[in-house]
Amino acid sequence: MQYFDKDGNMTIRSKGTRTWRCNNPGALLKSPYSMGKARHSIGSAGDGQYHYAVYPDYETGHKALIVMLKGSIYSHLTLKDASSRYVKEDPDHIHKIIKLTRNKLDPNQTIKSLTSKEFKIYWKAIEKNEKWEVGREDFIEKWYITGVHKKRGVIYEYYVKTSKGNSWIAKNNAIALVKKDKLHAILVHLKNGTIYLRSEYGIKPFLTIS
Amino acid sequence: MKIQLVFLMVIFLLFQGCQDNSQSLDDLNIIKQDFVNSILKENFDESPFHINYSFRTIFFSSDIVSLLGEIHVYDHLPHGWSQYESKTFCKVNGKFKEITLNDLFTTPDQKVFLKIYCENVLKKDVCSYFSGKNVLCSELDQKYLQTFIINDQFLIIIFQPYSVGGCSDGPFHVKIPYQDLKDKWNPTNPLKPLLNKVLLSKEFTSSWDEEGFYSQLEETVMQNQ
Repeated sequence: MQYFDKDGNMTIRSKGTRTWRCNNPGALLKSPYSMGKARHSIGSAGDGQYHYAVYPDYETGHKALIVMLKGSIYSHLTLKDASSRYVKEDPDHIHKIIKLTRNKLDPNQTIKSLTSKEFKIYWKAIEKNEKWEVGREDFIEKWYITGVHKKRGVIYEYYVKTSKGNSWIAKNNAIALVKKDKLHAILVHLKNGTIYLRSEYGIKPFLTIS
Repeated sequence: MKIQLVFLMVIFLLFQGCQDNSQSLDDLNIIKQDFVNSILKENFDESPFHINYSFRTIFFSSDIVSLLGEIHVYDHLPHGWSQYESKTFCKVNGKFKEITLNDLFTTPDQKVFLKIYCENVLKKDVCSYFSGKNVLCSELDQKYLQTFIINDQFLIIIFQPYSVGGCSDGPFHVKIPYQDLKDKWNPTNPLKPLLNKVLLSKEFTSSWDEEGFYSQLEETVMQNQ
């Protein structure tokens, strides 16, 4: 799973459970509800027709589950009936949920009758049963070009800004970094085979330092 | 009369206790009708809805056939439901006979071996209920050991959604190499002698990993050209 921030930096989530990789603790499939504007979903991921909604963080994904449970369909159901709807394939779901709540809830209570404390115990049990296991997270920072060195009007080096400091990078290396999506710039291919870099749309052209 | 009723109740309860937690996929028309009835009550917010069913051979030969079926029904949020089914047939006295895990693991010791083997594998999978920071299960329930298939190298146990892990990371499965089964399963099971015969003949397809199967096939064709 790849997440991009507004600066183009990439975070890759691997291993762990899909609920964690997608920030979707309720394992909500993509739908107009789960992907709607009000739910702030940022995409979807999965196989075939089974695509899960992806949220920017746990809190947003968690809210999608809470709003669904408090909505017009689930809130009127007893915990037992809610389990049959949530996990139809597992008749033991309600017993697992009640066990996870340490028998603090009655399966015949409706969701809307739960106090806020009881409701918290309930959604925590649902999220636990869906399984939330943190995996590996790799952060790949995207670098910027702020200036260029030219020799007889031709660029041969780029001044690259990173969080760890700035440095001059040879043209070929800079092109390789753009190809790997690690450097902000546009690759321009000329008909004669020459490749050069241009600043991205809406960004000022590279400053010629010498 | 009362005794008869009690007897019937006991039989019913025993039968219930032995049942797998999955529903039968034998009549897909019923599932299709349930799906239609269900979505007629739903709203657009949770759509689009669908049913997917696939049934494919994992191992195919003239003496052994092993099939895996998968159904995914999405009829409402959060994720609808899924189920797996399997069928393995062996040729006995010239006729195909369906075999079950009870034919392969007959004694209590053999069943315990299978259970512990699966538990140990699941304990290494962080996505399962047996592992990770939130361990939800420490012991595997025998009732979850129902669905299995075979290929040329492994006996593969398939677990239904929510039996050993959540729905979004499945299907959870445990692959047991045949060498690990030596002396551990029923020595007179019908699969064992046929498997040796079929593997030696090399006349079979083994396609648990479908992509791998076709790329291996292409490689073989290229080498023979």
